[in-house]
Amino acid sequence: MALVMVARIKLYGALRALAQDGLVELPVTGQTETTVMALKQQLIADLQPKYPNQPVDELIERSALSSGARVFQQHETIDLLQPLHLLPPVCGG
Amino acid sequence: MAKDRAGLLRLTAERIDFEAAFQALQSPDCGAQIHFHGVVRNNNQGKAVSAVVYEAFEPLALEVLKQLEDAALELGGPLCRIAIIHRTGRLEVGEISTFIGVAAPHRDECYKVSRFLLEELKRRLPIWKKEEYLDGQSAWLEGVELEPGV
Repeated sequence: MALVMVARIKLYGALRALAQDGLVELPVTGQTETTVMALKQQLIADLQPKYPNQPVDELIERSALSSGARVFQQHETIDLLQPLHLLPPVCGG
Repeated sequence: MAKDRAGLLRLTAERIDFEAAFQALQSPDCGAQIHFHGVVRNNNQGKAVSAVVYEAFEPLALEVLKQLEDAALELGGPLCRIAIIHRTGRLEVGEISTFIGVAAPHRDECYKVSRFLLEELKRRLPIWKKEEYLDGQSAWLEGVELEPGV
């Protein structure tokens, strides 16, 4: 039986409503590493068709990816099997 | 120079504990304090607001708060003390969402550091705000893109 690996990306703010419990699961086939930019494109390909009337692509492109206490660079290579968090533009205060 | 890390940096779903904040700001070296309160307003961009829901990504938020404290001590000097408390969850109009307290030897550093912390918090703290309106609708507010490398 083939082992299916899954990347889990938690969504916040306006992104949260795009997935049940604010969590997106993407199957990982082949390499378990990718760039932030490539992962965002994969998320857009997965989510935009489900919400054709919402600017999902723009919101994801403007969002930052984090593994916890750090925000990744766009071109950075990341391990897809670590906990990942997609953070839209912020507005505290 | 060693940095004084006795400040208070906190996210909380409970009402803000002002006693703890005031305690953290106490210092015999400091002759000035500024306390900033951010309060939930009843209107925004022409819409009547009934409440605001704050969501935070806590691991990163706490790291950012530590970095802001470091930057504040660089700006205001090592004798400054900082207290930042940000609410999470649903707040009614009139509730205090944000407390920024600064203690410094003199008022000039206090004003400078207080304003710096507020502007940086709005730009860097991973917190999102959803307004609930009197007409029953709600909306997440537009924000500022986070910069990589935090």
